[in-house]
Amino acid sequence: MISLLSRASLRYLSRHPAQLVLAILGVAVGVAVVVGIDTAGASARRSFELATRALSGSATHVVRGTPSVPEEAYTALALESGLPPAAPVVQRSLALVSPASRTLDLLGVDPFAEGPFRSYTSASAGFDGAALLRGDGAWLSRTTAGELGAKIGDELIFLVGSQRRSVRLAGLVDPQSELASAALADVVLVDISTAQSMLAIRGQLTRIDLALPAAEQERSAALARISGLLPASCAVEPASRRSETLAGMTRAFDINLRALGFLALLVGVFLVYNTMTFAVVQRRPLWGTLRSIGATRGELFRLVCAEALAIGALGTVLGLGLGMLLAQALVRLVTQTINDLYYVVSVRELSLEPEVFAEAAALGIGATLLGAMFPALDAMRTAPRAILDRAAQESRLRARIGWLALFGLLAGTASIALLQASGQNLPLGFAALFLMLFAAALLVPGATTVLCRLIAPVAGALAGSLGRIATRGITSHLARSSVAIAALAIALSATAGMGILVDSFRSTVVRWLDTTLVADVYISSPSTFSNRESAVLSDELVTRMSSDARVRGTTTFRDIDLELASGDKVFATAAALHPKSRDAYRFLAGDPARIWSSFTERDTLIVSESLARHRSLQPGSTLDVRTANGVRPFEVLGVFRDYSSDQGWAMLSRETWLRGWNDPRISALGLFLEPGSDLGAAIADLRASVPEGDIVKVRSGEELVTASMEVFDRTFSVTRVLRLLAGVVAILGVVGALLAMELEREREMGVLRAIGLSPAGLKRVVLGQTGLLGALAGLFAVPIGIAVAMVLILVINARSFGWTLDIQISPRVLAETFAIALASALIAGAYPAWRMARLSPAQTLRGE
Amino acid sequence: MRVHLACLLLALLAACSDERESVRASLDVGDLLSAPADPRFERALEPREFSFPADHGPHPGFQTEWWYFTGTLADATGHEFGYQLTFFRRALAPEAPALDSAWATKDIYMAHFTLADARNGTFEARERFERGALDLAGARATPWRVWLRDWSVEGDLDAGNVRLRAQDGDLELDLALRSTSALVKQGERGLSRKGAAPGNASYYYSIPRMRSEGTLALRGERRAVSGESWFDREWSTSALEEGQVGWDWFALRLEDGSELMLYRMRRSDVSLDPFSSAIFTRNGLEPRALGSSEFTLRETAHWTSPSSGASYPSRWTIEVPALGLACEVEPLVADCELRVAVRYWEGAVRVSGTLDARAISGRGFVELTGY
Repeated sequence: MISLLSRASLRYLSRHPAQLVLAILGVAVGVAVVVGIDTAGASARRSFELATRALSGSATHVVRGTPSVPEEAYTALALESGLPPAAPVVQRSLALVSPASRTLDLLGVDPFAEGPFRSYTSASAGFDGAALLRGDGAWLSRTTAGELGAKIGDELIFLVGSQRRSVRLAGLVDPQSELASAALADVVLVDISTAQSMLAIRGQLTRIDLALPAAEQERSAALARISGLLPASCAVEPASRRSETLAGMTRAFDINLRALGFLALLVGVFLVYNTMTFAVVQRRPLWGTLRSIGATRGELFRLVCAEALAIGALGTVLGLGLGMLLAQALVRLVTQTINDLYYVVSVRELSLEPEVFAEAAALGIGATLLGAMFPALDAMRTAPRAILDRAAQESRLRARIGWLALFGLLAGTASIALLQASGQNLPLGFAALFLMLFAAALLVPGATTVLCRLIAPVAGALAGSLGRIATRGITSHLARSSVAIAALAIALSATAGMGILVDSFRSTVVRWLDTTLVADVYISSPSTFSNRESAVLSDELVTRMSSDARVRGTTTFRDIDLELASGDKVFATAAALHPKSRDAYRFLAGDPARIWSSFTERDTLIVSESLARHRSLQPGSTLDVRTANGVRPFEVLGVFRDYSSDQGWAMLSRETWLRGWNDPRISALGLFLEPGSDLGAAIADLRASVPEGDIVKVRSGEELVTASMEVFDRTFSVTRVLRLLAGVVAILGVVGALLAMELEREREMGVLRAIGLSPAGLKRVVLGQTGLLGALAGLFAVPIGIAVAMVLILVINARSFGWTLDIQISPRVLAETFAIALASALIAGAYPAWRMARLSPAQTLRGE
Repeated sequence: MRVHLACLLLALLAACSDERESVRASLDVGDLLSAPADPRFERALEPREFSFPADHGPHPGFQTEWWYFTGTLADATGHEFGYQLTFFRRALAPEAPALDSAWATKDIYMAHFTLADARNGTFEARERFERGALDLAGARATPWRVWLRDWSVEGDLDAGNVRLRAQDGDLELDLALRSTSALVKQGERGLSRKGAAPGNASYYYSIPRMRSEGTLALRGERRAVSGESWFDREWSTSALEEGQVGWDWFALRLEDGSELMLYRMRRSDVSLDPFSSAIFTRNGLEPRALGSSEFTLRETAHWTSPSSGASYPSRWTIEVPALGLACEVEPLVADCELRVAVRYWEGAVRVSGTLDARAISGRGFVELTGY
């Protein structure tokens, strides 16, 4: 009996290869998206971990200081007898401008202290410490040098602030382990004297690496001795601390990526469910016959599950392969975003994590089985006679429409309750979003019935009986059509939601930039986020620029890291704001008059919305900040709108900065010109007056907005790709489902042909029906998509990044969604229409 | 007579790690070392009047210099030890690179610290490198001090007082040294020629005998020790000449109060290099310089290092007919091979023989390179 069942199954599947292929593809693409995203994210994380670990070598602890570690702290440790090994390090991200453009980590080390720390600074790696002491010698790994096209003896030109600083490639290091190789990717190794001189930080170290003994007692004894030798501005912390902090920065970004991946899989699950339902429903006569000749319910159930398992397994295997390809493409987008917004990371190879594969396989096969479960149960439960009755299922569903709608409403309510009750919890926010989509799916059969009833008279009026036939076809096959509509609607609403989110975000940022960038001309060094600390303008440049006759006023910025008493770092800007610049700040909390009157006077600061949310700050809160004069409480005066960093940042006045840190350098300059000045001419003149050797960007406010939006768009390219993929999954699934549905109705169409409908009329009926189905899905996708967008903007975005966005529902996105629904449905209808029109009525009716 | 040892510094900087393979590879670069030095360095061309205490301090115009302490010590039970604590300075260039950093330097310091235990036949050697910057390592004349992190020698050499301190893990030495012999100028009034080319010479003086007392710790055992040390001081801008492959150097203190310093340059063709020489001193008397034809040095046994495979002479017969000296020289510990960045053998020896027909014994140090 089993072999007969299996043969029946194989025969069915082999006679419907298109359906089989589409089902497998649906699973495959869903799995591929999850694998691709997870692998891209994991690879970026792993590369970063490797690089941090390898750069700190075998250091167990590091000495850090505010604002840096004075080199005397190292001397004190080095001259002491019996202390564990210590190595001084100067490290900073710098923009390489020649021979290629790239951000590299400048690693300044003392070759004499390196031995116990970094294996790649050893002779066996081809490293020659003496050459390092020659002043301008630098080392790269052979791989990195190859990528940059740099040869030994070549000059490597870096941008430090607005100045060019060059070193000469003295040698190549051949890393001998994966770790060392990861460490040296995008690292330029120089002597500590070269590093200090290049960065103009005489006397300062970034950190001191320590290799403390493993035994607890010895370790704490050594720690106590070391701490006793350090100045008050320095502290010892575990070496892993910094990488944890940095990794934490991207947590929200990671979760969002993964959630988007899940969304794609969810769409995939719907479509698999859809496909499997059809595969089962279509064979009702077969099930009935098999039951009649003695097949048990259990056997039928197992048969359907086995089919699903096979489809799921095939789809998963294919999906894992596709996922790797996808990861290759995504990893570039992901690292680009991380480099733009968080820290420098370079991914040399994909890191294939077994968990990702296991998770994807479980999702792919599990989702397919789950999708097949209900149809299988259905096939099993029905009495043999009832199965053969084609109308029985439809009537059962119609009876259940009310219940489904009720469950849908309940699920929707639960989802809203969950959104409200889950506070700032991000995963629960996503759970609520998925629950909402589920609720929407449950409401589809009811809504379809209602809408079809409304449309039928219209269709009848427009296209006569053919219109009515097409409309009725949907309601009379509700069990099949509603699943297809729901699947398409959910898939499209997810992409519409993402589209609305990006649009809203983009328009908010554009508006914000327009109101914030009020100066006529901006001068900044071409730094990236990760090397912004070193990006300072030369004094000469600042003097020349601000003394131009057309300049009426200036705003200056200095990018800094504030270190809190807790050891955490907060990005900050010390600003001397022109009154016009002040007016551009929009406060979400705090009274502007009071804010600006206290801003320059005391130890105060204002914080961006994201920072306020991350650290629960409001006007009146204090932040304990480590200044050069010790830890001081800084009062938060207000919270301003800002979209430049999801970590958030603080702004303090230049006066406050000078009082606490006594560092007069500035990173960027905004110029306000005399009214009526020719902006183009002014910019050209200012560019011409840039001192020799300085590299700066002189841009109008408008150009700066454009440049900022380029970064923004790059950041969201991942989202766009995911949106596209979700759309592809949706179309694949829907084409498969509609194809199956229409093919199933061949006999029905045969009857129509037999009673006189022309082939052209038949084509119109089929296309009209699938078109209507697509239109309904598109129609449902619009409100669901808006709801998804609301949750993404108001809940998910707020919880992960802490931004308030102006919701911008662009008709374009909605029209696109509707068009995709309609187009994919028509594509799906084209083949059955062509096929049915060709078949002779006698052929299709032979079975009757 | 350790001219060339410090010359090797350049190559062995490559070996700041403990990667032995690469060290050996770098030592094969013999021709790199015989490359002519930068002409901007000063050279030892003719004898000069030493000026103390300034000459005890650094000579930054020369490329290379060192302060070399070796000695034999014993505890109250007669348990004998040999020690070596030496500091080398090597300039990578005549001037420091023009960098705005206190770490920028032209000078590299290297130090070797060894302890040999005659009773247990063990030998421990440690080395360190440091840049001559930021007080991490350096040398100065007044008050006299030479140091590399916490290893140091300091005091007043003219008054004959030196404090010597070094510690590394379970190895520790803390000695107070007191001169018991006069300062001896080696070679021609302190100019010691190493080769035929002018300037391939060094300024060189020694204090052959310094009473030494203090403490020594080895493998967790600390003990009071006393004995005698030998101090060598040399600076130059010198290079290995063609055909020279290494040298054997002897610094012997005989118990009658006389000392013999002898070195032999070895050539690749096994011939005796004419620049080999010796000097015999006896406190209160004028030192007597001996040419390469006035002494014989015969190897009577060999020892093969199990770790490097190199075969070193391990017993010698020295005869100086003009002095009526004939003696046997033998290491206290056979394995005194320094397996540090540069591989060489340097260890304490015992001397026995006859001088003017009287039986005589003594202690000393031998250095063997190029094996």
